Amino acid sequence: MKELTPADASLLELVDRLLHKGVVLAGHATISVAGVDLIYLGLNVVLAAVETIESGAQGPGGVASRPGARPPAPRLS
Amino acid sequence: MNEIDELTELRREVERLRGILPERVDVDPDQVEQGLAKLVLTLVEFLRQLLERQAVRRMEGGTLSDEEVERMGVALMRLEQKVQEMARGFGIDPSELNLGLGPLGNLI
Amino acid sequence: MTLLAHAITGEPPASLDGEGLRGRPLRWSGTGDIGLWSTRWDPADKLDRNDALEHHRLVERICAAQPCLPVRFGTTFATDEDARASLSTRADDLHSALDRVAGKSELAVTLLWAKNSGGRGDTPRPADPAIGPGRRFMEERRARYAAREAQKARAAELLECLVAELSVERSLVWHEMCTSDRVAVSLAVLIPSERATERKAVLERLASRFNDVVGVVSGPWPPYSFASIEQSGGAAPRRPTGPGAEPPTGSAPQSRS
Repeated sequence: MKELTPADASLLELVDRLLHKGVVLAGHATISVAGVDLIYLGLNVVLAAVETIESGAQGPGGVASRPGARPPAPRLS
Repeated sequence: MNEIDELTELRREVERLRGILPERVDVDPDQVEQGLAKLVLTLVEFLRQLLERQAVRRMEGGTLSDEEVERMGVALMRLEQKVQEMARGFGIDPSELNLGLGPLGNLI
Repeated sequence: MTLLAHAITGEPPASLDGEGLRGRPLRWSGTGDIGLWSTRWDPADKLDRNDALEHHRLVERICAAQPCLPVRFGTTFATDEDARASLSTRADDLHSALDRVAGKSELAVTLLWAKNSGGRGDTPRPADPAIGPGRRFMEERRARYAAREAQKARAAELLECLVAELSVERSLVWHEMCTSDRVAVSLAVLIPSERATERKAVLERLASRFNDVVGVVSGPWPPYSFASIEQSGGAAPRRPTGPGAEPPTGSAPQSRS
């Protein structure tokens, strides 16, 4: 595992602030590109899939509390 | 951390990304195809890793037979290789298949 | 005319003037006593890395002159009207946030995993001919997840240590664990700007006391981590481990089952 230098760390903190932090304002114009709807769609598919897996895993008593019981197989929508 | 916590955490990450991603998409139409390929493959890899985690938990929990572990492992391994192959086909380094943003945050 | 936003402030002092990104006009669009600093932008232009760095330098300059809330890089408004409307709908929250950061800067502590910190357990086991490739793959993944869990637990310990030593109000600290392979903890603390040098020295001593991580203190920064208006007190969480996060994760390190 490559070690990061202190200079790397400062750069990481800078880029982290630029990309992830600061006030997020609603109602702004987005720089759009063809296909951006597909991206939203893609993420929605993932969310739906994760939700399905979650609800599938939440059997009575939960997964961890019934040793020996087989949890339901995850279903992907 | 149990399965539900992990899934909840993963889901929160995806929710968070929904607010961020559109502004991060490159506007250059020449790169749109590669960008979409990257997204699709990242999503596939995301789901594959979800399944991988579930499978490892079931193996740890002793609810899989030896044969099932072997078959599961081979299937996941092949799927991983296939995804990496497809990525390279699009000129994407497999290590880029990550919904995080480079060295700053790894979703996967 | 498109605006590329930089920061939210109150009425600007006469001394703040000059150019925005790429030498283009910088303007302040106010509504009531609150307003947005932005560069007049051409929507056909793509933002690049240099723009990001320039945006940061601008934010620094603005924050040095008056209390300011950095705005997420890349935020644009189609018109001046849109910008002002967006601010008025959140006027109260923005005022509270400005009060919170007035006269303050943030210092960041980054704890990086050191070489001796055990890595991710990827050491390959000697090939056992009795184990099939599928099983070997599963075992290797199991070891990898276990190593990751151990690392997360250690990061939580380190964080707890740091936070305890800082002994400041919760709302003045923002933190996150394991943001990437190499980062164990990333933490930001809001401090009075004029105490920055002395507080930085204190943090450097704190950050250097662990032998499995390298501690780096950076700043003072403009209050990026405390600019959020999603909640009225304390920094907004980016991940469940941040302060003020929704239950049940909260801000204390979780115990793993």
